[in-house]
Amino acid sequence: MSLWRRWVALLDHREPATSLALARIVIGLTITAHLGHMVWVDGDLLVWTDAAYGGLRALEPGWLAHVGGLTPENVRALVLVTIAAALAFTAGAWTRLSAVVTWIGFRTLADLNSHSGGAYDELAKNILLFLLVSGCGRALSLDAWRAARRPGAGPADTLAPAWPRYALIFQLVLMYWATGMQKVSSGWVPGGAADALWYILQQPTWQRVEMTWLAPAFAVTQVATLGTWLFEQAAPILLLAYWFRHTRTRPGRLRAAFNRLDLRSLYLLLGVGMHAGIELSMEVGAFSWATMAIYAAALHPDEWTRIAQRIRARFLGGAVTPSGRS
Amino acid sequence: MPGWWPQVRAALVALHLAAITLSALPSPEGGLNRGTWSDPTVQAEFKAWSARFGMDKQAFEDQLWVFATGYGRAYKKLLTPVDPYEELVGSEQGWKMFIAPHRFPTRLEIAGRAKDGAWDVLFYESSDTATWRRGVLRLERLRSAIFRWGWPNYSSAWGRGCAALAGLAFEDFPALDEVRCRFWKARSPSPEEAIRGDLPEGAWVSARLVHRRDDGAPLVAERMEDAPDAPNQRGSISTPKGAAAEGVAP
Repeated sequence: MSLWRRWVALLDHREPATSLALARIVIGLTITAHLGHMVWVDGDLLVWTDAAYGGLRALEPGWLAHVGGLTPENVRALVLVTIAAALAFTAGAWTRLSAVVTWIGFRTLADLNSHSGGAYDELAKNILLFLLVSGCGRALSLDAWRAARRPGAGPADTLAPAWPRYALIFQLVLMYWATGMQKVSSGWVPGGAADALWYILQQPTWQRVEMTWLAPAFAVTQVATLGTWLFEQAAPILLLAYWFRHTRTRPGRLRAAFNRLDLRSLYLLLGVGMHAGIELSMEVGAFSWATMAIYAAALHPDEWTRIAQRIRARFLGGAVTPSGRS
Repeated sequence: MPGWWPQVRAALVALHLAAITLSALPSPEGGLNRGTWSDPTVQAEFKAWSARFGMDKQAFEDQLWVFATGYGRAYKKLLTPVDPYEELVGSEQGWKMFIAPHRFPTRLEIAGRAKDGAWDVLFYESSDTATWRRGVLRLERLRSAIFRWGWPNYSSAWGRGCAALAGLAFEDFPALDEVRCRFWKARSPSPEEAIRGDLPEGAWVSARLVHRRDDGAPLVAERMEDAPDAPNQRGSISTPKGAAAEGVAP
């Protein structure tokens, strides 16, 4: 089969929508919590209203110019509409529509003030873009619940194209690799002092608490520095691990070694550990939570089914067999 | 042979992935500013890298500038066809995250006073006592702006930001006539210094003064002499002299 046909066939594959639905729930909750926090402390007004209304900067209103510009009322209304849409998106209610409104609302807000944002903005926008054209509402959603009650409903209604999930994994790899490639400080690159994380943890802007107490464990921060750098540089290996997993029946020693070591799971576990470390020691906004939305999509729907079966068996009783709960 | 839609979709997905890959390539954008290069954090990087390459620091810096500006031009050209698409779908890929540690970070202080009175510190980053509007000032989006304001190339944004924060302070404390915003800039301690408790000296920088206006005109942040009362004292990274909050009743 030609390369093109294989590519078309790969993207034409359909699977249960569980993984994409979990990604939808995680990113929906992340955006809701993030914007809700902004409203709670009136941060939305400071960051996104124009300087003429007490905001931090003179801002380009974009399409909001047609409704009166970046006034406190307009900004608050847009934030509240986006929160409502994100909540509906999380619940999977009118998923396509709520996805569009969340995407437009969050994009508009995130693009207003380039001085007051972070990588989490771009990550969330990219995740929403893929979910927008996916079938993420076909599982774990009010839409799926309603669809299942319709006459003639069948298992095919719960399937979604797999390609948005593949695209999200590609996005994760690209993000890690690109950020790793740009970590060019002598404190990051092997052969130097490996003190980047030590000094980053001393930055008052990002630290959760004062971190000078960590000094006796400086060697641990050095290992974490090199580990982080290597983890990010090695991100393309994750794509290879997925490919070898997808083609596990083919021959090849490298393929067999990747699958025997389960490098995919190992990489994802390391990633979860790294993000947990970031969350514990630093305040970097919604970044780690948004990333977890992709991690949810990084597992195959069957894996989530098995995890759910194990949880049910553990907490509701019953045995688990290799094919599921008995 | 699959139908036309799977093929069109496969082509669109391939083009999208190609576009975001191009866009994610390392970019010198934001770093091409010689004013920023004079910051001690950046200079420390040049010193470390020139030593690694066995080069003179100035020669290294000059050659890097030539390379970075050339690469920047090529990068911009490469992205010309991709930019409009990215803008349309919002798929920007700027993944510059902690590319280098800031070894000379800044901490924001906001203080206020009645006419000719003493300065009362309202907010000081990391302080447990000067915590006015801490909820909003510790928001990640505010911290992102505050981090930028500490760099010389964000000077005008810093002035506007200080005026906005002063506006909030005047609302909360009717007795205030003036608000001062400034940064405490100090080298972060090395692990050895942290263990010894021998913390590096620092200085107040980028001070701005805002006067209350009763005529409804926009508030303006004036530059003050840097470090007018810089303590430059040792052993106090988080609470330099003058930053101990006495508190101002709202």
